[in-house]
Amino acid sequence: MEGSLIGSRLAIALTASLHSLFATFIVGGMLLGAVAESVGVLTGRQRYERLSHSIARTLVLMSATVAFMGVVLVLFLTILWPNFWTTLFRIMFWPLIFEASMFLGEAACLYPWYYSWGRWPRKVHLFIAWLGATFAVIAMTMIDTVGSFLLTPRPVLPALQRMLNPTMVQLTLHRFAGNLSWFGFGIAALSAIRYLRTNDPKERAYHEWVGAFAVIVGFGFLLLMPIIGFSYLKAVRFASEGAFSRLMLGEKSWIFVLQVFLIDVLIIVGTWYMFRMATFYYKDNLYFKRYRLLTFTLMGLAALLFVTPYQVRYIPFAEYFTSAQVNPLGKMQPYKYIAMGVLIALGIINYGFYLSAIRSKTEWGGGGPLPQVLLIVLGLFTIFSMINMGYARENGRYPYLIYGKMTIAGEREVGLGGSPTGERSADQKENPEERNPPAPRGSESLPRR
Amino acid sequence: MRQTLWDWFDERVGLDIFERMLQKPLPKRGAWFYTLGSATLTLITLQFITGAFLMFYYVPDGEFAESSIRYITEQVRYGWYLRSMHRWSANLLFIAIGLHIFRVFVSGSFKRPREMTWMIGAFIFWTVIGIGLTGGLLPWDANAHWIGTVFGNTLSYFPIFGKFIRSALLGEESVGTLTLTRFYALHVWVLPLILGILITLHLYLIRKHGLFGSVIEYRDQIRALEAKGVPRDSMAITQMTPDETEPFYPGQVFRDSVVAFSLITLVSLFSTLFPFSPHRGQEPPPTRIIPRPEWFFWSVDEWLMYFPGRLIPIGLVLLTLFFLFLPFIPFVERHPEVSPIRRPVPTIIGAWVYLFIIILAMMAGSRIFNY
Repeated sequence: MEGSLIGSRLAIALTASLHSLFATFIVGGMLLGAVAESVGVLTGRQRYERLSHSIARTLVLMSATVAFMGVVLVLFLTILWPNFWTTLFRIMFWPLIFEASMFLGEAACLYPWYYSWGRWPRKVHLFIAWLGATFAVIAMTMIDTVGSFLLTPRPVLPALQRMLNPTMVQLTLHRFAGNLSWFGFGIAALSAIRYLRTNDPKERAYHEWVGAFAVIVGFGFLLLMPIIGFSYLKAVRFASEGAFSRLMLGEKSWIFVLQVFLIDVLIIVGTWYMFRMATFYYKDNLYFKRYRLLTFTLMGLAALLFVTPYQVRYIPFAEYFTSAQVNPLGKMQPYKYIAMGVLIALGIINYGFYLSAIRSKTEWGGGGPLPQVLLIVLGLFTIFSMINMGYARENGRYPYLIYGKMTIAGEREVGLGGSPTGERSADQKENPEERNPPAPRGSESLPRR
Repeated sequence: MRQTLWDWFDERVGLDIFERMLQKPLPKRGAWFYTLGSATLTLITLQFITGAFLMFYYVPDGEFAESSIRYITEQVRYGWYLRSMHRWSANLLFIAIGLHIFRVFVSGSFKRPREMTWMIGAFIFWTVIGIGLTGGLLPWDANAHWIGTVFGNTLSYFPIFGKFIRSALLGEESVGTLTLTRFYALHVWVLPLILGILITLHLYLIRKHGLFGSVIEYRDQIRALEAKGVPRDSMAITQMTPDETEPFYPGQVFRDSVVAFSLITLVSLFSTLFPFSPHRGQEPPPTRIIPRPEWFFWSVDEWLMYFPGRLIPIGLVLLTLFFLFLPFIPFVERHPEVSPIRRPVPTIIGAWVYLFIIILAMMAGSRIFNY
């Protein structure tokens, strides 16, 4: 029984992670592709045209994969988690149907967008690109409605309250910014690989420019992520306190620490890349080197403070180094707030310097391999970050499938051949306290691991 | 007879000034975007008119304020309609003014010689915010009471002057009649007077410098100058005259009238379909009331949530610095280039700021909807 449960969870985790990784990339790509083509039309610069065309090609290749993974995910849900899937589909029938329709609309725009390149009138072509991007964002919003309901459900009726549950807006905004950041860093990493594989100076110039352009998007939206994420966690805390405790103070708090570490790396490596690319512009400035040193010192200290865990007892292998249960320096308020503020403030200032420098850059392709390696690191860490965040959100509500409404035990009665303990599902329990216990797993009362 | 009347007035008043105003050349392209300014003016005018009517019945006294609002809404003929018009036009005003600022910023219309026009526009924005803030307290219901309390307490966190600002605004230790009279005086006299003066100055400067045309209009002139070898950086595009212009009358007058008429219809429609009414029935106990700010302050509300406890002064100072920075944008971005594409840094930063404000407002809206 336990084996089948682990297998079912693993199957869903793998397919859902892969599906969402590609799907989010496509949403970001549709938006950025439409922006790049529009800028190309407005400025008449060929490289934007080439970039948007490459984006369209990449998305066409990925679209089939994401559709396949989506079908596999639904298949696994139907076979392995029938009770949960039926309940969820019944509650979220219209958002799910609407999401599927929007995905269809997105695909119906994506293929003509790519295959009609240079054939259709420009205005029609641009319209198709923006229409596809709009469909993609709506599809994302619909799936976020479902995803947020799982963690912070509200009464099923009225429909508006079900849709606009406490974390729906925050999750949508977080994913919107995250998708653009992920696509920015993803395309930057791909262009970096292309840069390193070619010796043609023209190609190198183009790929270096793509990397620099993509970082504007990737890093810019990355700076928004902790801000929206903070609001998201606050909403989770108010709506599903048990999940919040589990993630931030309980046995899964190490995931948050890991996420903070990934954010630290992304901000510091991104800053390193930006400084590297802006050196040509500021190299004659006497204060540049000093400022760079100061920035990295401050960022390093802030990153260290930010990643310092509070609940040391839940950090894997920490017991070999310390007997402390908690670390006061890792408290959210004020230490983590200050650290996050410093990182974001310096990130914004350096982003401004980078933008000023890049607009004056006329010679591309001679930056050498280091900035490209940094871009690849950024791409890889973004993937880790995406997977880690997905894992955190889906595990936060354990042992619930729908927080406070349906447990894994409830699923096992139907989907996995019945509960060995004969325990009733959360929905069947008459006492509300039993359905949504005040101190669920993950709260501070848990023993040391 | 008509000519005689015209001559009579012209001799005494000087009507030719209006004639000159009507004939003032305006850029032809993008003319609908220029109606955002007149849309803002229309809504402000609507605020003045409906506000004056509400003043006839409103009693700025702690004991009678709420009942006077109830009286306006329930007893006065069409009182509910006028009050709703006042509130709906205030809501739309913030949208119109936000779009207007964005249009001016993106098109670089604030650049030399229009710096003062922008500065006064920023002061108008401050004043409108002040009017919105002070107006929130006047209904004098439980929510208004708590808005005043939260507002006063928040201001008290301001470094050095915090306590003074709080006591100057509230008039006493907690929200009371003195607070109401002060907010009332600010809302109906002080700030509208300042607003009127600022709008007059703003309109005068717009008349003096004319409206800035869309960037596309100057393209041919730029190309001609570039062909002569004039570097792009030295071209003061904002001082050129667009190639294609038309007189203010009748084209722009027609467009402005269409927008003004549509807005008044929209406000009227909203007021009829979704009228604001005072709280009826039993009030919830004070401990159950959650203060809800007006939607146009959601982003500020959410911003301050990021600075809990001892960090509030940082949030307040940053917010103040942002508002203080607004009038000085033309002195920071002095490059003569106006095209949003050719000046990507300000365009990206401007877009970021707007996106950030919208994101904050959405997150606050979600919180307020759910609790």
